Amino acid sequence: MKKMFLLFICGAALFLSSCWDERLLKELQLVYTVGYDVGENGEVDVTSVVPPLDPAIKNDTATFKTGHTLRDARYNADLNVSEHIDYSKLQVMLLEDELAKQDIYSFLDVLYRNSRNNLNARMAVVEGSASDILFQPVASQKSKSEYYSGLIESAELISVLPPVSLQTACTLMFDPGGDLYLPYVSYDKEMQRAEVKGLALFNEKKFTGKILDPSLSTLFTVMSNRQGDVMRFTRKYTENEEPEIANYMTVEPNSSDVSIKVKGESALTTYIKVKLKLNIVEYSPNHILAENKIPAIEKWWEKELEKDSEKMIQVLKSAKSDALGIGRRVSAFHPEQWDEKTWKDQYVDMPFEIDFEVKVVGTGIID
Amino acid sequence: MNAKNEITGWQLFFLIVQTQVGVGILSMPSDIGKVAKQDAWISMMLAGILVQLIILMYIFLLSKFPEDTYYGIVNLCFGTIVGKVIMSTYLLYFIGVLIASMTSFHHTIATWIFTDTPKWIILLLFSIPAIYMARENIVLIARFKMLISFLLPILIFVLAWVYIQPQFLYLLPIGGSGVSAIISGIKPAIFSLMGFEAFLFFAFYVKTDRKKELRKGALATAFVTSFYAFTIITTQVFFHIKELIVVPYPVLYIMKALKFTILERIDLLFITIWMVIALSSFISYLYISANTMEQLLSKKNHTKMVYIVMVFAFFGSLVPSSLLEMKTFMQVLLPVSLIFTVAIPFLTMIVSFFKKSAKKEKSA
Repeated sequence: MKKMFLLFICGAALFLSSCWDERLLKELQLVYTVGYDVGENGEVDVTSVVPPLDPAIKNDTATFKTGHTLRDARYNADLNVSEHIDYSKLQVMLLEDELAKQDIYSFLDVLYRNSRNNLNARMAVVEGSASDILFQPVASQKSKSEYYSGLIESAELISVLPPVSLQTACTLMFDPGGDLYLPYVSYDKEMQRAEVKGLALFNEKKFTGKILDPSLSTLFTVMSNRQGDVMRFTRKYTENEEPEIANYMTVEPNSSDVSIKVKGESALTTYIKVKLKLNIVEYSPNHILAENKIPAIEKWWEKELEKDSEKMIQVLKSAKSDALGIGRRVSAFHPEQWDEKTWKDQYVDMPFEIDFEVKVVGTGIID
Repeated sequence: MNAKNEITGWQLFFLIVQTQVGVGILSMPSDIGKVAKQDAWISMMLAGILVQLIILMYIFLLSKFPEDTYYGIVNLCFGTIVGKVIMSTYLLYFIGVLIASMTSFHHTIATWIFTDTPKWIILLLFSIPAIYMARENIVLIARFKMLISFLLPILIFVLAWVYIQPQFLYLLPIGGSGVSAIISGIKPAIFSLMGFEAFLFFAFYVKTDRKKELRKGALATAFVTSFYAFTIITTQVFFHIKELIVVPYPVLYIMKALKFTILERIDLLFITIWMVIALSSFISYLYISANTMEQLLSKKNHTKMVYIVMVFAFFGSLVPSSLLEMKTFMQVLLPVSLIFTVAIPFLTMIVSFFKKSAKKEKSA
């Protein structure tokens, strides 16, 4: 009996040695960056950027293929590469703005459905055609395929963009009480580099064409509590100093506390309260402490940021984009007033009260 | 080996916990979420209370006849012939459970890791350790379950990362999905707690200090309920409920989306760990069905029965080929399970009232 069993184990071990699911790196062509465009007759154009296989070749190559679905286009792309094309290490996908104006979930479905895909990949809406941008050269960058993900991640680091991965985007798309937002990227021909232009605002699953520019999108990042390691605001503090640069003050908030509340009986109002602790990092007319300017500076920053936030809310409202997730709060705390269908109209008319509380806590190592 | 065939209260606790927790936990949050929406955790708590009541009924029934196994009690109450019929239906039911357990295990593995590996290979590799363990006596199995229980907190540890950016607003308004939705959510919640019936069979082996020790075993369901409620809440503060509904394995999906400095795709690592838990749940059922067969055929040893049952289960689980067939099978099996876990023990209890008095009359 014992011997039989041992024999059986040995036999079974034979099955372990072979593998149906092996994927060898040498047989794969890993795609890091991919671009989607609307093609002719409603087809999808997929541009995949692949790093070169031969180390002697410096530049990345881009393959461009068309298909009815994304899978189809990728399938066709396999006709151009010597290996099997593989998207499991995808880092960033670029969506043409025209394509983003359609329901983008249909384009992303394949990425959520396949268990091999990387849900941490970033997404961005690009100005103009994604394939055009991906075929453009990128200055001083050896690897184009990693450039775009780095571009977005560095913008996240300085809090211009809130981090949005494929997974967070999916949650935002499904949530009726909040809207999707994605980085907006364009290409600068003179500099031969791409540029983050701000935050593309979506209404439900469709791009509205409205963009929050970087200074406003930084405020948005603060309010949605998703800031990166560094955050900086520069505003014009005085009018008459010489040289012109002396008029500007740069601050770095080192901590923030945001509370967004929706209150009211019949008519709801949104109250946004932001507490910031700032370090003044650049302001050439010195003596901030000596002349006891701090209370005035604090007051001034509060006003300034409130003004900008109003502007930001106006942009959000004009896009009918509830990117801050106010609807989520209405449905949670005022379920009797929550109606998925009329929410956007209610949102556009909703008054916002924004209150900043700024405290200067440091001025660097000089006064 | 220890021939006493006797387990302690804590061993009973782990036996039942490990029978209840299997691959089901990976998909359970969306099954309940489909019905009870954001209040799924309330349904789970209510289901936990109901199951606790069922366990109390088991304790009551079993402590009336401390000398007998559950089947012994059934035979005593209904007579040998009816008893045998009931036993054989139990055997069929448990083979059904084994098949369901294997196919859902295979489905999880096949969709997440081994997409191309043939089904029979995965099932074979699953059954070999299961047989190896289930042919041993109860003491060894109980020790094995205690040994692997340190794997359970791994789930909590990994899911804790969700609480870096939780959306507690998704849980509100509490009770917003309505009383009827919460109540109908209890049904899938009870199904996800299935495995508590193991109490009926394993409690027999608790022999010393029975009253006190059985109470420890009864804690198992309370533990599993809170474990599940934690999982439900965690998935719901991560996914919006509308998204949760389309994600069949939310727990794995969360892990897939997490990113650590060096590690990516911890869902794959996690499945490999969780296979052991799934296996352990399977072992319990395999042991119970072999035990049922042993008592049905009045044999002395259950080892041979393990092989026979396993052959049925193995070939049975090769039959359902599509996802749809598997789902249909589950939809039949789950309501049926209520007959075996609630209805029959309850009937037995009712009948036992009369039996006892009859016995007393005889002795008097």
